[in-house]
Amino acid sequence: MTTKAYSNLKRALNEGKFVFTGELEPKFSTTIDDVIADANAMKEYVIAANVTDNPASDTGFLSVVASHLTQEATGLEMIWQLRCTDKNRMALMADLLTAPKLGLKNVLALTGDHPWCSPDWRQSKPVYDLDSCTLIRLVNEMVEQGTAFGKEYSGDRIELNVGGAANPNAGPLEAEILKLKRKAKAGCDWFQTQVVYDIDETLAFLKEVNTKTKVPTLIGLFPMKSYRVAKGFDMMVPGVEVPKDLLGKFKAVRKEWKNVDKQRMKEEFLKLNVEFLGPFIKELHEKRASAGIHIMAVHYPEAFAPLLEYIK
Amino acid sequence: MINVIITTKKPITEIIELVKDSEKLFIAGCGSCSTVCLTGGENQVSEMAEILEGKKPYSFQEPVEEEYVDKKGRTKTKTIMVDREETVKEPHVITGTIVLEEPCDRRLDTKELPKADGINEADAVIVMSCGVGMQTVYETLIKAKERGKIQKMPMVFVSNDTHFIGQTQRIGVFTELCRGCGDCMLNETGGICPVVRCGKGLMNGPCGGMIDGKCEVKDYTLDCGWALVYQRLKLLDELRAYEKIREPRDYARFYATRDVNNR
Repeated sequence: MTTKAYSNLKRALNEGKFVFTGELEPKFSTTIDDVIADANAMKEYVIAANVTDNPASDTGFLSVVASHLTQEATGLEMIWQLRCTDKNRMALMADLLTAPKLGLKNVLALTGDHPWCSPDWRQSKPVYDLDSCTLIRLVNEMVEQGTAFGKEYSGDRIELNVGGAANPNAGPLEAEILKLKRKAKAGCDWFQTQVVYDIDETLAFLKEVNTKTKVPTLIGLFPMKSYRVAKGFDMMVPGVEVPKDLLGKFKAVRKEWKNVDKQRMKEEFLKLNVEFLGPFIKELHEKRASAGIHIMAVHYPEAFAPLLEYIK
Repeated sequence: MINVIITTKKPITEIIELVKDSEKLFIAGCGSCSTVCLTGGENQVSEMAEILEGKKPYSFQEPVEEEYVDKKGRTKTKTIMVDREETVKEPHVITGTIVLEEPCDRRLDTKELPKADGINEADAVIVMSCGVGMQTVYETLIKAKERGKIQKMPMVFVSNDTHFIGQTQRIGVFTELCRGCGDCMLNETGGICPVVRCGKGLMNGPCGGMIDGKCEVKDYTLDCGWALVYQRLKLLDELRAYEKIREPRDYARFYATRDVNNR
């Protein structure tokens, strides 16, 4: 782990502040107006927001450009996600060389979902020339040495802090932890985790990560905008199981309000999220068990205020 | 049984379409891997001959539109695959057949093929082997024509798809364990190959798609290669090796055709 902070996020983590981050998802579109609107809506609650890079191998507006434009338009710091599925080391280095000009300070280095996971592009050829670990190491080399794979680049030195992903739902867990140790060795500044639902498992996971790696870890939570989103997430995301009673409550709300009062239904969904995630956030916050929380409220910025209100 | 180059038969309908303009056919099988794979041995060669001569029907699947009534009582159509059996409409003449000992060996092909009965009369040769066998037969025939060992150059077609270097589970059932990458890392990973077994071929796995030891590629039906490496190294009490950061691969090794000269 590098100690040098280039970003607000890294500075806050160095100071031991409990941080919140959000998530933005550019669509398969030529516009990112919705991303900018969501960023504006969440900026008073989060220190930075991730901008996804073809998440689940579903193509979207280029992450590095979306990160730059959204950061410029909103003033909110972006965490540019960069994955190894689509680009070989030449393309990754080319992307990284643009960072100083684009004003980016955070990059989240990901291996990336396989095209097999894609709803539309399963036939696509994956790259994986590098992986999350060697990408983290490459970023640090470019930042600290001014070289990439030993070759010196000219111009302004890149100033990026680099994060990595961690998956508490992975199994066997020890293999995941050993991999996180590898990422730590490569110079990972922070981890952001996949979505979790079980507080005890999360605390156990954090204990492992904290003792084995010392890398500050942000726990991923997912406020669910609707029953459809909750159900889809439960079914589509492997290793993630939305608790049955929570799912049942979402279903009941939909049944009660769908044909009666749509606005009321939205309010009830939000209430369920706060009831479930509020105590979760509070426990992590009070115990300082994690370095912060990554709230993946994609297209759901209205979830931030009531959730963060809960820990005040 | 030996480790073999694993092949599967292309659909017979595809072969029939390929040779439809060639009246006289010569069929060359493979006495090695494709015999083991049941895709180019004696039996498959004679079966292919009988089908193309119209002496034996062949089976295939055909898409058919079928009407059905859905839950709400509406009539809809869906496509289903139906088994069919047919005999070739315009039978071919089989001028000869041979099962080459190893069609991938240029020396053996050069010796056996030009003098094989019926090779001179053939409009086309069907090679029932892997891709290497087919290419070697093709080259051999071109050379034989140039040197006047055969009178005319036939078309050459391959009847199999070539898959991998496989481990034999039982007769006709194989698993890919080696991709022949030329840069073996088995000594570091407890004898499990991540190039093949990891869905992404990662040097530093597992990725976040490892769930209960299974891989996100192919919907969690296959083992995660890096979970296998973990289990093996744990068994050997060598988990320290798991923490090592491995360098990106040197893809310069794979460019274009690779030659090996071990002499």
